[in-house]
Amino acid sequence: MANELNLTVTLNKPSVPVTSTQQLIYLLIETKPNEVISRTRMPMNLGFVLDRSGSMKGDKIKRLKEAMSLAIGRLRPDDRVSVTIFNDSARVVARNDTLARQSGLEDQIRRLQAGGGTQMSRGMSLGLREVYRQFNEGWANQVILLTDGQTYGDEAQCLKLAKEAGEHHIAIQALGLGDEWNEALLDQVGSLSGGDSDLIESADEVVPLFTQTVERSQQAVVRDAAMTLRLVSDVTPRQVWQVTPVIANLGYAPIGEHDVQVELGELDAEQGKSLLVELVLPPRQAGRFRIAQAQLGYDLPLEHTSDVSGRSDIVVDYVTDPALVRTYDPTLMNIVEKVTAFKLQTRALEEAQQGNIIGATQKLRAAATRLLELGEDDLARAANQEADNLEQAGQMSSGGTKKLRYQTRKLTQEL
Amino acid sequence: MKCPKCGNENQSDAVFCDQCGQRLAQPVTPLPEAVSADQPTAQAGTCTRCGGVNTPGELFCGECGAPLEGPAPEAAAVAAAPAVMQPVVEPVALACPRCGAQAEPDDAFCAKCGAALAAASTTETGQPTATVNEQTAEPAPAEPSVAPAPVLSPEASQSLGEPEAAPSAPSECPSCGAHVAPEDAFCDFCGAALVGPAAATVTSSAPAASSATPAKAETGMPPAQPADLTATAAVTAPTPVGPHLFVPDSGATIALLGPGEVLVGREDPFSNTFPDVDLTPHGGEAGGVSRRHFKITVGEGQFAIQDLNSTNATWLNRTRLQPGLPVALHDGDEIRAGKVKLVFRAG
Repeated sequence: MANELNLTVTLNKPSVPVTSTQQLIYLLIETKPNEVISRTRMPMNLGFVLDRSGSMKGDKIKRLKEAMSLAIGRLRPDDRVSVTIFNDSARVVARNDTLARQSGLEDQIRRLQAGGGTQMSRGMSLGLREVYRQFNEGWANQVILLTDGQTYGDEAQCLKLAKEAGEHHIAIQALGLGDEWNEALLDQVGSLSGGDSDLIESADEVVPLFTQTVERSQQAVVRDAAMTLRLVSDVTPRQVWQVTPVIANLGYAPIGEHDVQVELGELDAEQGKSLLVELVLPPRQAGRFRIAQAQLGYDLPLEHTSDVSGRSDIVVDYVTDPALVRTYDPTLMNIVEKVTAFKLQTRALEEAQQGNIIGATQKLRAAATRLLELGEDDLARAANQEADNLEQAGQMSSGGTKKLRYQTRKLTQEL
Repeated sequence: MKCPKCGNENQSDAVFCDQCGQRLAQPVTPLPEAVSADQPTAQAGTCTRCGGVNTPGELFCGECGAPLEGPAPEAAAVAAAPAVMQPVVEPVALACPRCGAQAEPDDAFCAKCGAALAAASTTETGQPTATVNEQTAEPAPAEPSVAPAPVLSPEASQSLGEPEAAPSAPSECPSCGAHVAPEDAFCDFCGAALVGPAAATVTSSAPAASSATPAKAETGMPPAQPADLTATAAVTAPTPVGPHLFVPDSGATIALLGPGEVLVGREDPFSNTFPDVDLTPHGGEAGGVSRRHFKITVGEGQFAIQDLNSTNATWLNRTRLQPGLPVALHDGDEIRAGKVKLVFRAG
């Protein structure tokens, strides 16, 4: 039984009323690496794949150069790095080598020039090949892909490459700059490869987000984590949300009569991951009941080991005294509210895409209310603005859609 | 449940379609009318803003996101304990306590359902049943519908607070009767606490019942002290005339006043339950005795016992009684109500 990861479980209320109906309970399950793990960093085999098409001219390319210098500053001398640039053709400007031996790297970055069209698959193909040349199972093998536009005619090829990357355990972190890029494509490139996607709203944000992405890759010290929830009879899971580092609907897979498994993937050394699990409880008489047990399995690539955490008992008191039921965990309430805002927003975007304008508008307004309550004035405004756009023009703006999509999932980050 | 909009097949209790988010016409469990005020019901979670129906306990409306008043329980209540669990407790050896599948003697877990099999099975099932009366001939009730246990009243949970280290763990769940491994803190089947306030008070094993049965102690229990029951009774209490129940643990005797029906249970003024025989002073609360546990019909030299659909079941000579079915009772029979052991004396 290893103690690399601590599992803590908080219920939104420690006791529930005795009822004749089913009822819902929320669990916050936090996985936190221990001190030793939280200080470790993965050695990197990092490939940058950068868009230098004509639309990157001006501020964007300038910021990208700054961001590159800073990001490289975060790497250690024996980390491996390569840089590939693309417009409608692609070129490797720095071949895969340790940072210590990349003497001309800063120079190459400084000389970047924007121009030409965008054919992302060409850049991806060359960049992935560079990372794969020095692939090391125990390292973080990643591609950071940055684009600001649509790619022309090679979407299918991009997805194929992303899938292959995933099969070879090279994760692509796809970053979209501005509001003209194809979020459906970047999202898929991220998820197919086992990586992620994110929005960089304006050129000013390139630098912080770029360095954050590099840091996150270094901190992914736990891999292939999966949580097993062993439920007692009649307790059923309703939804499983990841709440940190970003909100996402994780889903779950039944792996036995009473066991469900939730794939967590990589865990961040400092933050770990936390989940919000919604469980439907059966009626019970008064008394103390275990409703579930949680256990975590994971790989530590640096140690070349796999391990499992201890089993955490999740226990609820069924009480007949209403006074005992009213204890609510405020942190959890806040998280549930954020997840609700995220959920409303997601459904709004889905309904808008399906042409259900009325439904989408309602959801957006509801999301705006929640966001306002949460003190997220900026996002609330964006949600209301998009609701207006839907009502007046029948469609949402590209920038607003992206902002809602990528920022509501970060609602939990201010915690 | 099929989505009326996109046709996607959803889980039967889904409120929204997984595919398109359409609200599914659903008769979400209606609240029963108030029957008795002692048991609060979680609010059904009808959104006051949009009328959307949510699962009780939900914090925000799934439809419009408005906060739902989760904490406040409504007056609506339930009287009868809902019988939700169907624990399978059978005194047949080598069968999984949960699914009933045949198990090999050495198996620690059921091959079919994975439930932990009582490893040290010197429980009821392993007992010699030579001396039990004809009741054993009856097939054991296969699946008595038994509601989960009120092993712990709210008062008790408050006063007891932290779980104490139980000196001995029960070998069967006090709540649903399923077999549990001695080291388990919670029942594998129903999740009820096996140690701590709910179960720490496992009564020390009674010297087994009828004088003819030198039964072994149950697993995890202190060894039984062989006792001459009649003698003990004579010493500790004036021997009552007429039918009575003898409590081996305390040596007390409880007269059964007939003729007619004698209700045995646990007094609970809260729900206005006043049984003829209150087992509270005899460890009824911790022992999982239901408010209306069983009744004994006292006739002319004839006696019958009937379990009243109690939570933790009534056992007659180590055979579980089928709820609602009267069974003849004889002098010296051992009765167990939850964890409380009694011996019936005809006179």
